Amino acid sequence: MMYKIINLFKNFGKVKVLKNINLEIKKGEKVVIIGPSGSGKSTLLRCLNTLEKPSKGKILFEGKDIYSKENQTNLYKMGMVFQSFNLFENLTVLENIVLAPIKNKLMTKEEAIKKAREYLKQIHLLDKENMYPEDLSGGQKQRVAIIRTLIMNPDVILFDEPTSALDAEMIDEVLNLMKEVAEGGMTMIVVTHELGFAREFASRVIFMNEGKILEDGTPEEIFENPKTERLKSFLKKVR
Amino acid sequence: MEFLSTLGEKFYQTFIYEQRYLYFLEGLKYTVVIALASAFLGLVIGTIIALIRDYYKENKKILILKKIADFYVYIIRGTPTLLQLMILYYVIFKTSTISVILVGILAFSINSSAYVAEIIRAGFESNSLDGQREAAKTLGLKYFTTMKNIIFPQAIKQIFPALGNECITLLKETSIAGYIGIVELIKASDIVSSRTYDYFFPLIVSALIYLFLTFILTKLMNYGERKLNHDV
Repeated sequence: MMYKIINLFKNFGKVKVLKNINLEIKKGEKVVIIGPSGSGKSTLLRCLNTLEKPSKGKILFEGKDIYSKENQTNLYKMGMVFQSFNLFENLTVLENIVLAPIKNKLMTKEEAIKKAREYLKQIHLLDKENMYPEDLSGGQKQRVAIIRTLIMNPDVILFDEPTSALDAEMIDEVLNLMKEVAEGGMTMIVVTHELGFAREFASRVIFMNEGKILEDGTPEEIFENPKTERLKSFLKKVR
Repeated sequence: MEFLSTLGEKFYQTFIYEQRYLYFLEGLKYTVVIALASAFLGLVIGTIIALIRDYYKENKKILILKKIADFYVYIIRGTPTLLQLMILYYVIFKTSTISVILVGILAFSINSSAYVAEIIRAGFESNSLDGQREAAKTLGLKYFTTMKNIIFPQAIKQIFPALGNECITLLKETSIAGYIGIVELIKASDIVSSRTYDYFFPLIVSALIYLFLTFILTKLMNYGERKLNHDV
């Protein structure tokens, strides 16, 4: 079991964002979390790599508490791709990608640059390696951000609404790269509003509402045979 | 004609007679030395204070140090510079044989550091850096690696104009150093006035020198700003 989430609660002040989440995620799963805004999807995801600290409950990663020393010193094992890309604005594309593997001593500088260029070639951005993030389009930024996460060879990648900040014509280039990553066997947990993508991509879909997991099943179960009224009305509204 | 010859006489009395221009040169020297040394030290101390507070904010460790830093900034910003200068000279270093110039530098460094700390804090806490900090954390980058490679270079760019302002403020504020007996520019002109019973030339010339110094500082700052933005 990669993730085991036990009785997880999260409050922001008086607002209860997560209410008793219990969830297990296996290696290799492609989990897509859907749900209305404010349902706690992103907060749950951010608890999974300690960007948010749970108010109550426990998260085990690879059998150990996520706040254990071992997990905390290897946070890069839980990669994350953000809605707003969060590339390092003062570094070039290439520097963005190689900084973490070099500083974490996973690779020498030469190895990191070689590997980074392989990835950049794969996403057809090799000619942009010396550009700064401000010179890239949103889709290009997000693909670089995905590469930057991939080069750390994480056990899981968490995607927090990776296409929500993108113009329509750039969404597909990012989703396609995510599919390629998935084909490599990566465990992925994706929060998204792209239901078409969820249906096609996910091995498992989770529907959250008001801080709780309401439904959890295969894409067929969720999209063809929704059990709860809440999910039915959500799917109707979104379609 | 008589007016002009009086003016000429006053000019002669103020600058030439008994080589009084040397007072102004000495004054200028101490003003510049104290301002430069204090700006540098203030930046160093201010950066350390800002780092302590930021480290606490991000890691929830070193609470005691953070409280001390907060208290330091509170005290320094809450009292007049002149008072700090006089307390340092007449109370803390009362019996010490330390040079008065050093006391001055120390006082202005401490004073400036509190303001610099606040300026740098604003840079560190800029919203545009929050996401990058999170990204760095998820990539396993340590706090100081992140600060050095990502946050600091971007913060310094944002706060550069404010730091420039602080330098100009500091330069002008050194004019109170005369209160503890340092013969900086204002004190020098005061000494000369007391000999010649004329205030016009000493004060106007002091003003012109300050304007010249701030002019140079402004030019340097503009150049630095453009350099940071890769425009040069």
